[in-house]
Amino acid sequence: MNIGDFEHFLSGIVWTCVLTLGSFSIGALLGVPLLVARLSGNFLIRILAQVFIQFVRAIPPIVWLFTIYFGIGASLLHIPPLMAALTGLGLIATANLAEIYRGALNALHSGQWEACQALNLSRWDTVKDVIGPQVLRVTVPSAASYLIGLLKDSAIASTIGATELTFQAKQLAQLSFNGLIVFPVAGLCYIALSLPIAWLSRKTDAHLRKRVAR
Amino acid sequence: MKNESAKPLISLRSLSKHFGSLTALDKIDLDVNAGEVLAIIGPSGSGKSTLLRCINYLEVPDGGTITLGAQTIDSSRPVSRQELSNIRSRVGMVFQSFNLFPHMTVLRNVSLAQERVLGRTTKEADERSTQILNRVGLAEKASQFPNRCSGGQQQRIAIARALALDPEVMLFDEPTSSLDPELGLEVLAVMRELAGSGMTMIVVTHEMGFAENVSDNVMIMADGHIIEKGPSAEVMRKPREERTKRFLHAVHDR
Repeated sequence: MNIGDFEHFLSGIVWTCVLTLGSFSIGALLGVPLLVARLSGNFLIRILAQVFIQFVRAIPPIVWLFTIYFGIGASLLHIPPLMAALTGLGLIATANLAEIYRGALNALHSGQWEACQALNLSRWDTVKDVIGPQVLRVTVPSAASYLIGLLKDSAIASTIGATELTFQAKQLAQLSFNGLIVFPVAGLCYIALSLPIAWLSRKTDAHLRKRVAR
Repeated sequence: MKNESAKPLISLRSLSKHFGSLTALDKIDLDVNAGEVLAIIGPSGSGKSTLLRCINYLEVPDGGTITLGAQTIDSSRPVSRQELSNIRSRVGMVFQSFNLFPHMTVLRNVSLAQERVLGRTTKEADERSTQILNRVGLAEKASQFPNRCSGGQQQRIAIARALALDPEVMLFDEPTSSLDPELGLEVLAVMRELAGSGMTMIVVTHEMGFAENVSDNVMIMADGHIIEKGPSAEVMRKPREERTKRFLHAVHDR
């Protein structure tokens, strides 16, 4: 491979990171209101949230991307491939992270809520000071493995022409007829990207476990 | 501290609670005077804990009234956030499972609600916390996390956390039931000291020694009813009711 190929790979890696971290951030933020809706006392809101989550998760990511890019993008308003991919993957991450948060919330002892009530803490203080930080801690390992999953899922954005790592690899392979080198190199790049996530997750988890082991 | 007037600090009238078809509390009438220590004993499922949890509205009663000092809450109408906050700020509670916040130091556990609820500064709250941790004999644990403390220590921290908010009444829901006997003793010692200081206490317990020797009055509950209530020595040694005798026999035979 020459310098030009290397640059293609590099820009692919950058966009893969943007896609992965971008959609994860969208999910991490929007997952919170979705979780609140999922736990709402209002039956209608709760059911809507539940249906939304099931719906989003039941459909393969690639179908979502095609729907957004070739469906909405072609008929209603033009959406660039990266935006379409970010929207689709962000949507899926929102549903998945809301469920991950919910799992962590369920893992908390109900006594934590009761202690806050008995201490007369407000709803907001209860969530901010007591429940939130504990949920966050329980969430770290599963959120990190979801992030690694998302990193790999971001490859399907190549099918709608988003210029991320797999897309660049495909271009290079077609130009050079050297798929046997290009794709394994792309694979190694994915591994290299996932290593720091896994390492950071283990570090964080071990650090938190040391303090609040139960 | 003793309230000489006849008016009780806490009055429950016709307090009822149902869980589906189960009657957990059946029209309970109860008066507790300021400075009184009341032990509630009885078989499990008798409604003891439910009664306690209704007093600070952790459980919402479905009938009757709760009067705390000058404030009366009528359970037949929805209770406002302000009323709820009023009641809870005057009532401290200690749970069987401690329920300390595992991600905070012991000091922070005791200080948090002082800052958030009473508006004390961190400095004021920490000073008060240190003073109260001293009182329960755990000042040296202030910077530790709860999981570094024994069960008995955790429960004493939980007592300190509730006391730090200067409650008028303390509710104890089986505070020693999840502790082995030795660790239970150190918790009972703190409770005994608290009782001696004039705190009004309602204690759901299986500790017959505490009921007989520390509390002023003992109340026996079964099936959501009050079976018998009176001065502790009388109820524990010369119970009038057959149901009480059976329960005390069962306890003593163990």
